[in-house]
Amino acid sequence: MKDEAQTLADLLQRTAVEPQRGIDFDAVAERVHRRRSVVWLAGSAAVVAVAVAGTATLSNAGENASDRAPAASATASPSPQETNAPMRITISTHCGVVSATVDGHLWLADPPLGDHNPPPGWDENEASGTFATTGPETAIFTTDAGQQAKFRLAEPGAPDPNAECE
Amino acid sequence: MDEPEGFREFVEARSRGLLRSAWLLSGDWQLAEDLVQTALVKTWPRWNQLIRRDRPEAYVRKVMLRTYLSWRKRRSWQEHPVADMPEVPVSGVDVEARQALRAALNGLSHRQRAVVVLRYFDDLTEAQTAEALGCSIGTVKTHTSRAMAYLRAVPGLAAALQQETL
Repeated sequence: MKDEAQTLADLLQRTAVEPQRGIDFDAVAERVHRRRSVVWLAGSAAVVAVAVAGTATLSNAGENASDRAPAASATASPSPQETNAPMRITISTHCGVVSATVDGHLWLADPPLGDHNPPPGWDENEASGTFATTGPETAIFTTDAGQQAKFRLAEPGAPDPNAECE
Repeated sequence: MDEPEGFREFVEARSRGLLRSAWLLSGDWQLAEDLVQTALVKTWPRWNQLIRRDRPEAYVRKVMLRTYLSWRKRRSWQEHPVADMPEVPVSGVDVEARQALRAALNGLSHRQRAVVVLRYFDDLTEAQTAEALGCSIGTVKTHTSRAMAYLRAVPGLAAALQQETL
């Protein structure tokens, strides 16, 4: 004798047939490597840009160059993940601006906007724009209409507060 | 980058089971493969911590679930017709019930569908399901109740669920 739950469980087991092959480990490894390379290249590009700007500043600075050199050098050595290329994303605004998942990482609005409703002036359901990191754990989202929200990288395993939004 | 110890073996041993869950969530083998692969890519950097806590699979499933929910929010997510779902031909004594179940899963909301998969396929408790979804146990109960009510009303599935034995 089976109850309804057990019957459904059995039916699900028989419906989700065993695939003939599993996940190719090498494909996973390749994606991990590619992902890290992208972060590294983005960081390197930012370092080069800062370094070029620093060099230009130094060449125009005349006798003040030696004063500025240490600052330029310090700015030109962020860790690879400190700066990243802005990404276009769309976030949900229906229950406020509370979170964003970017490239698989959960970011939490800091502070959340809208008090569980779309913030005044924002689109009712979602907003598209650019998401740019400003540090290893901070970012700013700028909508196409110019509104902005600050985000902070969530702790690993932290729940998405927007998950409750229906 | 070093390959985490034991990660390859985990992928080889568990990825088929993960693919079955992902297929029930997404309704599409290609998306299922992408979901599992994405979850494994995100798990890679944390593998050594997870092994120490002896719960890597629970973490992978949680990442997979949250990735699925975040993908569902994006405009780019596209439902695939039921006809495209099975790679393996459906056969056996309860073909109609399984076909009806596959179609019925597409009629559930994404969170109801997730609850059904977690509770009845992955065999998680209500508390574990709530933790995985980042919601309350009460919310899990509500989703479960509504999902079951929907499934009971699906022609071809109702009779199978009401049977005491299959």
